[in-house]
Amino acid sequence: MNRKQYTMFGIIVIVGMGALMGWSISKGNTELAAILPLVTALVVAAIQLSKRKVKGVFVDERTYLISEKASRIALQIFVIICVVTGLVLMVLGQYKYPEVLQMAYTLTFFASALSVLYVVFYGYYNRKYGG
Amino acid sequence: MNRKQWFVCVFGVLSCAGIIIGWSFSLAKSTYSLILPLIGIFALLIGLGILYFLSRYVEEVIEDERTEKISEKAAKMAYIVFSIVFGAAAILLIGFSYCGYPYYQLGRSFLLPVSSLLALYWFFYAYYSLKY
Repeated sequence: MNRKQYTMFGIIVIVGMGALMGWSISKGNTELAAILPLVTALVVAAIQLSKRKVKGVFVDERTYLISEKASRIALQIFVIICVVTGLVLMVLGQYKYPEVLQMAYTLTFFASALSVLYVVFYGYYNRKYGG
Repeated sequence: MNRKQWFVCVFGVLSCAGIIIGWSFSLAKSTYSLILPLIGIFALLIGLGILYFLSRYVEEVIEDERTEKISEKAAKMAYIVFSIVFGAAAILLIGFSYCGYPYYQLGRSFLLPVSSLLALYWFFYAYYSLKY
């Protein structure tokens, strides 16, 4: 199996699982919908195992570098936007549009959750790399 | 300014901004004033501006290659865990809403930030991919 075939295999499986989930929920088949997360976990494990048979380089140092830099800048922008939008929506929600209050709390919750996660992993890697 | 003084400044400015935001929001609720919360948000932006201005006067190294690498790795892990946990939670909540539970709105409000974060990540991935 080469890299392209592996990617196609992964996409087909993910789309298939998504379609099955959507179909089972729309038909009211809750048993199938409840089992599907477990089946998905098994399929993901199978995909990971099949990764070993892939010939060629999958992830190199350049990919890691790009991915880490992209994550950092995306996280920074996301947290700033969430905090500012959350605060503005809170102001609007208190006076004129009470329906946006839930969204404001959700956004600020997301910003806090992401910041906490970041700080936890920062502490972990700081220790790991001799902080 | 040395590194320790810089961190004291960061802590002080952010604490003040937090206190002003909390105070303005709580006071605005009792006085029905729309200007007070805006003052709080304005205070946060001014605080960030002050920190940016002060950062020029720091003589010691605040961030070296090691801290940058740690920050990038931590951001990547935080991004992965956040997307998986809240993405799965959103799908489950929307799924439950079809079975009669009142979680549709919550599921949708989970899905929007997660998809925005994924879109931001892929945008910057493409940007850095072109850059390097």
